[in-house]
Amino acid sequence: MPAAFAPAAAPVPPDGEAQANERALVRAAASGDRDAFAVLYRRHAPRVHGVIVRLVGGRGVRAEDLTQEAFIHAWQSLAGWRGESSFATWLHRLAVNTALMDLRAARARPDRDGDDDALDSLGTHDSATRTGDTLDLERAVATLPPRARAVLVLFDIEGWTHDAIGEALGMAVGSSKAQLHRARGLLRARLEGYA
Amino acid sequence: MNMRHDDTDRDAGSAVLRMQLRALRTDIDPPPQVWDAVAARLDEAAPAPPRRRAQWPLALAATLSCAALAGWWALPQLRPAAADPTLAATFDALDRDARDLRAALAQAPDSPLLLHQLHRVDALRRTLEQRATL
Repeated sequence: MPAAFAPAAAPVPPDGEAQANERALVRAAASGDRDAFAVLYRRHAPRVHGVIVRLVGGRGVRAEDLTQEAFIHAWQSLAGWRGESSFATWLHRLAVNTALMDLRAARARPDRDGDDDALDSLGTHDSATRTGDTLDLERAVATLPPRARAVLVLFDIEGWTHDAIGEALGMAVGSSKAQLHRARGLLRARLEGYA
Repeated sequence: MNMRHDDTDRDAGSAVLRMQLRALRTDIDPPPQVWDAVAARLDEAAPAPPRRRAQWPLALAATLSCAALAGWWALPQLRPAAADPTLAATFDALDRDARDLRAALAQAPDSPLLLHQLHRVDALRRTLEQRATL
């Protein structure tokens, strides 16, 4: 399939052949094979977009731009993946770093409040298939301050440790724990507000 | 990436909240235009050739020296903030270093050293900005 077309959903191969298949795809893409990269994109884009949406606080142009950036970084850096972790883990980490760098840059841009754009988009997608409680929780997470939200998303949703979060966000482990405590408190307060 | 949980909020309400939060970990399909935009940029953003291991450490070493210069500049007892002719050059150097570090992080996204250095460069730039406006 030509890489210029939006790739449709791709079935993930069975576990036994998945790793070898993935390595072959990465090697091909690293040598410039756009079709191989398209397969990698459609296989991993939902997970990458999911974590970016959660980190920036909602769907919308900002999350889409960051997903695009994450895959461009991946395309440029494929030769750097040496198979020490799974490709999915490597790509997930790269996507998180892309989103966190944007959060840092946003702190230095006083004229921009990207969270407003994100909040506007909440509840406008897939609403019919999700419960009110889930939407309330997503909305409450999206309204958290960016740094507290990042810690909560990485710890409570993505399952990272405070050590890993501290490294990614440039903060001490104690600060990560304090931000998590703060985020959960704010989250409870917001959820009570919705009740 | 270590996935161990070790937090200290252990009451029942917290456990329920954590379960609900974990359930938010779902995949989300990006709209088709995201791939269109990625595909349109693939030619201009050609994959880097297999990297020599020496590349990003060199970038890091250059950044360390620049960060040291910026750190010296930021010391209030040594340098008055206003009208310093080296200020613009220092900002340029820090911005260049931040770009290099981001590029290096794309190659080695798991590197805590690179992340730490990027945070340090960001922090130095903020310090300089604050001092320059005084």
